[in-house]
Amino acid sequence: MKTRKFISLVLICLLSCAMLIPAIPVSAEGETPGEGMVINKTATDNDDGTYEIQLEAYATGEAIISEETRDIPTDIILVLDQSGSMDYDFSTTVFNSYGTRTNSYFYDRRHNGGSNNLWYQLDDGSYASVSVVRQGVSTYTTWPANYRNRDYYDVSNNLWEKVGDEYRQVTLTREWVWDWFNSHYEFTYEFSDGTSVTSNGNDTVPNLGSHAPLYSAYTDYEYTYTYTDNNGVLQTIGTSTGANTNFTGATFYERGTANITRLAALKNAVTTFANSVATKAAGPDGNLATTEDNVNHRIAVVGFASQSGYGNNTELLSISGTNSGTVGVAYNNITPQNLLDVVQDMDTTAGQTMVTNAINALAARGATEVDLGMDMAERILNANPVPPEQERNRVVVVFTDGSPTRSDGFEKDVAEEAISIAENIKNAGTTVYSVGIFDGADATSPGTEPSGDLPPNSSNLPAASNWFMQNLSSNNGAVQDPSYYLSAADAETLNNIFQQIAEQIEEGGTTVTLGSETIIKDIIAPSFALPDGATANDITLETWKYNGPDYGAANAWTKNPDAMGATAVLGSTNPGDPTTTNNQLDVTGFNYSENWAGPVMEDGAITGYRGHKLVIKFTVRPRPGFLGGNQVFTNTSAGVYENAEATEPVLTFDRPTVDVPIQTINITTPSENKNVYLLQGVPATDIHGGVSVTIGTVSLNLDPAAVNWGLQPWQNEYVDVSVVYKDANGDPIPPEGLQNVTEDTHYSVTVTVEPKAAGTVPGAGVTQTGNVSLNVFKPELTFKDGSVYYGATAPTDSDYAASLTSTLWKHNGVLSTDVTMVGTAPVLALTYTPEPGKIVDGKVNTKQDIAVDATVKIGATDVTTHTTFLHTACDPPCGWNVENPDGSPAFLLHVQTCSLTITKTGGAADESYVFDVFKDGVKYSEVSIWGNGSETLYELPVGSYTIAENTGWSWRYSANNGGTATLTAVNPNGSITCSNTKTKYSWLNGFSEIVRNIFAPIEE
Amino acid sequence: MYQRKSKEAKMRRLLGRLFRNSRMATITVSVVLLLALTIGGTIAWLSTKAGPLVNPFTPSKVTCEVTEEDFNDETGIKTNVNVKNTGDTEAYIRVKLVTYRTNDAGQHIGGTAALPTFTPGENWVAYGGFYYYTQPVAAGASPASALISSITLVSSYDDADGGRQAIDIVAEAIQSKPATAVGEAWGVSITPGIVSDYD
Repeated sequence: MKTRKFISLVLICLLSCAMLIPAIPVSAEGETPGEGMVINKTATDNDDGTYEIQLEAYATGEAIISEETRDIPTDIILVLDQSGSMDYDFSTTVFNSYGTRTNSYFYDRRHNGGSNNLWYQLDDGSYASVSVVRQGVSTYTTWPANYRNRDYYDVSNNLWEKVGDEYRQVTLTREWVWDWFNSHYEFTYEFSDGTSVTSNGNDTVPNLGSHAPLYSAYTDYEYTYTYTDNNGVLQTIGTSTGANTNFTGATFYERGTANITRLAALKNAVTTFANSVATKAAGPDGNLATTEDNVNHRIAVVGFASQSGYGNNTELLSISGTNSGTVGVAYNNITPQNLLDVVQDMDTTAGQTMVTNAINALAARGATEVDLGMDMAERILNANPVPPEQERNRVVVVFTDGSPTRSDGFEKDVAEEAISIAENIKNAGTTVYSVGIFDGADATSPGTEPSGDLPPNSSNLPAASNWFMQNLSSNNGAVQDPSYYLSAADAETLNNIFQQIAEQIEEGGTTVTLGSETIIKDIIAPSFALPDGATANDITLETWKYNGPDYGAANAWTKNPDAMGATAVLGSTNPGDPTTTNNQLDVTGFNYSENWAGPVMEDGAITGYRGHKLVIKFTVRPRPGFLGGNQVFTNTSAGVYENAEATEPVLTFDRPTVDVPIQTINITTPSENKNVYLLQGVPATDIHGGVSVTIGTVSLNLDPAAVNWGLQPWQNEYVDVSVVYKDANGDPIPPEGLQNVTEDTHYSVTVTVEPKAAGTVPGAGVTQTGNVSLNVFKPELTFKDGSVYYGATAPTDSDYAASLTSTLWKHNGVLSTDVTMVGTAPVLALTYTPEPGKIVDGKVNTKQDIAVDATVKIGATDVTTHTTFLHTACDPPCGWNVENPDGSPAFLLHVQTCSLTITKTGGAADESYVFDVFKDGVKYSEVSIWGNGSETLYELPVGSYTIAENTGWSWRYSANNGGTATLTAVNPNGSITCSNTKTKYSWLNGFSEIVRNIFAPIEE
Repeated sequence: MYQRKSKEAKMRRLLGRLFRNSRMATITVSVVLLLALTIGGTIAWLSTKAGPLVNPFTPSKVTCEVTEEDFNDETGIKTNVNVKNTGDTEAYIRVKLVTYRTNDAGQHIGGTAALPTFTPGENWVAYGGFYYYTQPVAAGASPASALISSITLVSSYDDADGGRQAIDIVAEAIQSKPATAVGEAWGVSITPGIVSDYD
């Protein structure tokens, strides 16, 4: 679709150009051979930062100027390639709706860092690229009012209080308070205002006073969709929250490609072009039946391929015949009458129909003998000369998709023959446009003349073809702007040109007389200004007497002593706008009609020379704030106006250009390093913070939200300004900013100002670079040892977390709280891993100290190696105070044990008694006691303990084995008393004393 | 009270001196004699387990003591564990082995402990958690063979409770006749080499 439109626009543009180019003829009535008015404007670099502007004007006739603006009838010869390669696929761009998708889906396809395929359709049907900015947005929900200390502690990483309109984090810690009768946890809530609330007991609902309620925070992303309109203004399409939320605010499109044949694309384009010509031929009323305003545009269509055979595809097409269905006369059969009949009047229905049939008859077959196409075009033009009484423009448009050849590859003799014929055509006053749609077609490239023929697979084919197209067209071998050689890459430019030309096509005409009321009006470009304090007196007005005969000769003019009534006035095109102060110069009072310059004729002979010209001179300098560049227009417009009331100029001066040097770039970076938290960085919105850039005296606004760096369009109209931020590796910093920084680093900002056009200002422009250093603050965690009981339930994460007594962020010993930080400290997620084998089945399974490793994460990233681990020694010292840099271990859990004292009563003093000891119902130990003594068991795990006296041994007694001693962390020491009652009194017996066999104590 | 061989002899000598030198002892004997004469009969007091009873008329007693060789706490080996009938009456003897764990300080700690494997000496029979010598032991005599010739304790447990093994040895002697004494007191019937439930 786009390809067809492009070609159509090319053709329409060509037609419009052809019709307009002669539409500004200047003619003058008078007794001299000269016609019209001569005007000239120049700008000269004074090499002191100023430029001299000079305008001169004189009439070469008797001051009657006729401006003709009606459409000029135009003959258009379409020379169209219908070689076999026109059947090849031709890529065209299509846009397909994505349908309803999530924000995340669209975010991945954004143009500011995504895959660059997210498009939004504007009202005019064009598509704009879409950027998506994502930022975190937190929502807060109250925790239940009946939450107990233990509940809050379980979510201690997500506790917030509302202070005014802000939510601030609440820190909750707990500490085990040992008390003989009421050991408990003490919970401390610390608030942002420095106050705290203490509450005791796991199950207590804390009284938080004015700090209640507490909130949980949930962070989600908010997506903002934007595009930049044609005026460079950022427009917001919509916003949406949630990665998985469908965005319904607009329809977005995916850009892709589709293929049609080159021939189909050409047919569609030429058809559109022909229709446009037909519309213009119908005149302003658009009605062919009303012939008064019709314009006799004519079109002839020829196709070229091979000379014969291969379908006889080199032919006249816009003619009745049989070579291609109902139309067409083969190249070898062309008669002189055919050359007349092939030209179709586009202001008739029959002519339009024939052109349509000719276009439809295009068929792809054969080689690419452009020379034959040009030969037919030349013969048609020669057979249809412009009658002397007519004014008619003549245009040849040559389309081709490949290299000139009679078979394949590039055949230089074919190319040279085509160029030779084109030169004949051009020399006869016909404009030749070439349109290339081959691979590598580039109208901005002069191409390279091949030394000879090139094979079809030669890599030099594009360069050779571009050379051919440049020479074939009215570019005459040199790249021009606007260009007569057009390629697919120039589609947007051509569209703009066509629009501008179309707007200038007018009906009718006017006749003006340029007398002393005539005004030469020059509007100085915003890039320039008169020197400070300049007045109309600083405008030099000179008149020069014409001495003949050559207007351009040095001695043709002699300066007069006065301005011959000419006066200058300075004004503003937009009063109130300081950039327009004195930007308009009006010079009037000089009578061009009376002072027309030319020979005085008597009886057909020159008897002398007469007349004067007006010369206007003044100096301008670049306006402060202008960044410079090449080919800078010194004025917005300059023209000759009939009088003060005239709104349109009779004549328009050329716009001279000068090259203005680019000023020095100065970059100032922050005097102090930026401070960021680990794994954070500098977001895009802050990357420029502390950085200032000036170009000359102009400061750039580096805020990403700023449009055009905060500059007025005129300031950098002729230069490209780029500000590039790169990380320490020299890689560009993405739109999201510098992220995930782990070590001290820096980033650079490079500012480049390059001229857009070629000139004396070097193309590389001016570049300057500055560096910004970053300090990365890392976590410093301090732990203390904890304690657990042997056999108790394994500690929870929150139990482990109780050993973390301090979290600080430091850089080289400097606290984050003592400097200005970028961003807020990230939340650390700590994971604790006890020593292997010491926690079994969820229980503490050791009496030894348990080493606990700590792993630190920010989000999903392990930052343990970036963390400093400190350890607070126990009091009294436990003997371990190692600070492991890797947090392995970070601290110890000292294992506590219980004790149980078993006491015997009711027995005899000289007898032994034996007991089994049960833990949680399972036999755990044995005890022997002499008499009514007692025995204590140490280093016991928590649990429920009972005893059973061995009454088979103490057979004289019945036993009351006491109750159950439940040993816990709260009550680690228990006792059980066994009471005996003597029931048997018979028989003599006696006991030995207890002989104990134990290993000797180990001396420490 | 726990047996310590060197202290035992010392204690006996001390009690003997106290008894001989005490006028209170003479008075006590006289009062008892007077009460016995008043009652006018001779009653044989057959039990020694009812507290600090003294039968001055029937000084028969049943007592015992564990004999052994010193525990070698470097090797954890205990050898020649036997029991001596220190009474004045023929008696049956049984032994209870109580095993448990101790820590490095010698304190009793938790943790299960199993008796090390050993072969009881001849005529010793393990039954109901006790070791019975199945021959009556004459007063002043010991079983012909030791209960334990050698036993090795666990010097270190490698489970969570840890510690080292300890064994307490306690013995009891009971009059061997009549057989109902053993039956009613210990609930067993003893014949040479056999111990069974007492019917």
